[in-house]
Amino acid sequence: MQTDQLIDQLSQGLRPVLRHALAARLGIALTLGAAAAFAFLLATLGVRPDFGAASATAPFWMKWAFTLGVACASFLIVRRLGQPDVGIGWRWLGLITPFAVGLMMGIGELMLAPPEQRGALVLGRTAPICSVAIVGLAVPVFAGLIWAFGRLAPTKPVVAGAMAGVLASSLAASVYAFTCPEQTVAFMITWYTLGMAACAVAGAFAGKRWLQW
Amino acid sequence: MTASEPRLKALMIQGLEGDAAAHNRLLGELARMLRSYYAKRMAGLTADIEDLVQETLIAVHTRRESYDRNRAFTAWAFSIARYKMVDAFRSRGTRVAIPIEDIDDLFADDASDGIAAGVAIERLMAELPANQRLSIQHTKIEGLSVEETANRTGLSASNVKISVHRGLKALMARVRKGDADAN
Repeated sequence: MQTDQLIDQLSQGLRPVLRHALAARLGIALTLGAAAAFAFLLATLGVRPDFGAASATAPFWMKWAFTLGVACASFLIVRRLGQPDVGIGWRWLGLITPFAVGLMMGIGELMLAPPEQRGALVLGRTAPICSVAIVGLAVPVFAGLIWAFGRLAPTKPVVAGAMAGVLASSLAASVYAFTCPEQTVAFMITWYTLGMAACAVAGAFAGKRWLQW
Repeated sequence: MTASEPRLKALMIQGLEGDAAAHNRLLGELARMLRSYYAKRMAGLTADIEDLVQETLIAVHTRRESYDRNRAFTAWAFSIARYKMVDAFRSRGTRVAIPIEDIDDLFADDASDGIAAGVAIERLMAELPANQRLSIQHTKIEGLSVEETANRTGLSASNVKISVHRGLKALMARVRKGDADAN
C-alpha cells in the first residue's frame, strides 16, 4: 500500500484522545483486574472470619499500607514506562521504601521476640498458600495491564513487563489481605515479597513475549 | 527537527482533540522526516525503509495516548522511530548490516539533543540586543533573505548584515565561555 493511502486511512474517523488518557487506561485496567481478583477471592478463600475484630488492630492495616504503598510507587513507574521518551528517574526509590520500612519493622519484631518464637513469626500458619495465592490473584490484573500497554509505547518491554508484574501483584496482595489471617510484619515482608518477586520475574518473561511492538 | 517542533506539536494536539485534517498533515510531514531519518541510518535498504516508515506511522497513530502534551512532540515521535529501527535491525537480522559509524546514532537521543541545543541557543539569544537577535532569527533560523529581514525589522539592509555578524560573534563568545565554565 502507498504511504499516502495509509495516512488517509489512519486519519479517517479519527477519535479524540482525552488529556489523561494514559492514566485513565491504566486505571481502568487496574480497577477491572482488581475487581476480578476480589471476586475470585470471595469464590475461593473468602474473607477472613474475624475481619471485624482484626480491623481494630495495627498489623491488619500494616498489610494495606505496605501493599498499597508498593502499588502507588509501581503505578508511577509503569506510567512512565508506557511513554517512549521518558525515563523513570528516581521513582525506583519510592518503590524501595515500603520494602525497606517493612524489612526494618520485621527485623525489629524478631529481635524483640524470644528466640524460640522467631520461626513461628516468619512462617505463621499460612506460609504455603500466601505467595501462591498472590501470584494467582495477580493474573487478571496483569492481563489488564498487558491490554493497556497495547495502546502505549513501552520501549523497554522486559522492564515494563517486570514492573507490571510488581504492580499487579501488589494489588493482588491488597486483595489477599482481606483473607490473610497473619498478624506479623515478619510474615508479610517475607511471603508477600516472595509473591511479588515471582510476579516480577514472570512479568519480565511475559513482557519480552507480549510487549514487543 | 527543532525548527518544526512547535508546528508539529500544534498539529499533534489538534489531532488529539479529534481534528482529522491536522492529523493527516502531521502524519504526512512525519512520513517525509522519517524517510530521511531512516535513509541516513539504513543505507541501501530503500525497500525496507518505506515499510518501516509505514510501521512507524501506524505506531505513532495507535499509541498516541502515550504522548504527554507537556513534552516535546519530536522527542516522542523519534523515540518511537528509534525503537522501530532497532526492532527492524533485530527482526531482519542478518539481512541488514549496521554501518559502523552509525552505531552511536542508534543509541543517541538526537531529537532531544537537538531540542536541548535549541533551548540553550534560545536562552543565549535572549541576552542579545533586539536588532541583533531579530536579524539572526530571521536570516539564520527562519531562512529569510537580508531584504525581507530589513522590511520586517525596519532596519537597513547593511544594518541587518552588521547585526547578524556582531550577534553571531557575541553568541560564539558566549558559547565558548559556557564551555570553559563547564570545563
